Amino acid sequence: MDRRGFLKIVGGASVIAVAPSIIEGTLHADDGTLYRAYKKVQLLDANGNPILASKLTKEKNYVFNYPHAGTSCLLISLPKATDRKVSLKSEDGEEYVWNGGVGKENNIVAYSAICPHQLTHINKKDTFISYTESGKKTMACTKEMPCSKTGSVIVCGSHLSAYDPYKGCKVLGGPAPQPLASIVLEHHDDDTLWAVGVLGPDKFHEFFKIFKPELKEQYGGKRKAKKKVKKSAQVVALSEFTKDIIRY
Amino acid sequence: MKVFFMAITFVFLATSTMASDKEKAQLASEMRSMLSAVELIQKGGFYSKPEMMKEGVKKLKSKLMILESSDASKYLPDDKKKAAKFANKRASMIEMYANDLIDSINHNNMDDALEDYTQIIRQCTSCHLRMRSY
Repeated sequence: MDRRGFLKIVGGASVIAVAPSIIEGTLHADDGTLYRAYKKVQLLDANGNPILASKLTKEKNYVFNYPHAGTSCLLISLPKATDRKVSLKSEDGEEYVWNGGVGKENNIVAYSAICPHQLTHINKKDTFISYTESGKKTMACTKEMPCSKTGSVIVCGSHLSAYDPYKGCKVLGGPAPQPLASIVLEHHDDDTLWAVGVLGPDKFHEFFKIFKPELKEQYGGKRKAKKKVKKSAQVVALSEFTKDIIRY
Repeated sequence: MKVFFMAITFVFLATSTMASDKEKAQLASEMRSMLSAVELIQKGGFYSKPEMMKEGVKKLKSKLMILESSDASKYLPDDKKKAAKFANKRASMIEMYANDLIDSINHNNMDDALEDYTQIIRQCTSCHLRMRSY
């Protein structure tokens, strides 16, 4: 290897080590971690002001679209810190590690709101998928499951799959074959929040294929819905984003 | 007076049970019609007969009303009563894919038309999966 080639490799490796969010693409690390980096975008409110982690209402369902203009994600400020370094497994048996929530309390999480079972998702007309607050009951948590008493789960009401938001959306019950994909967030010193990538197997490809007519109706076409989000993503309350929140 | 109120209650219960039985029977009959409509779409796809597919879509759409308008909580078992909104949603999705299927045929895009057909079946099985607790 000549000196120029060597410097290129060292330089590239340094960039990734210092600022992982500037790279884009899929990385398969040696430890099996599956992570796909997208544009780093700042989370903003409806007026274009930065969302501040400490100002988020605890347990409120927030929505933002990322990494595509037509793929909705749930943003939740949980009442307590999440678990750290949680090992998760995809439907294919691929293992990956979810690092935990962000923010000063390590309680802020974001997940792609596309259920891997039958692709139930949030849309502008209605949603069957949402976070159920602590203490609230859901049909997805049967008596034998601890969440029947605690609540604090993400539920897909279509076929009653329950996910644990404290553990990277590990499946607690129901037919879901794998966790919801996690949106990797960065929390900066000024309390702002940024989305930088997607961890775990996502269902974007199938989603765009299957919901073509719906995307045409709601986003003006598949191509527009598939457009990558750049610079910023607007965060709104789920109740403002969709007309009907259906919970079981 | 007591007997009168008991009689009224009995008549009310009997008629409401009959009404729900009638609705249930009507739903079963409409479901069978939907199945034959779906079979017609499939047959049209297999024999490359777009007009047959369109005919199937027309029949299917005419029967969707029962899913959208009926109060499923009247005849569903207790643990499924609340799933009525889910059934309504599946019906609206079937309608969306049915409309797109016609659109795809009109644009001579059979790939998309068959994808729409697949999605119609998916909506049906998705609902049956939930209602019958497979």
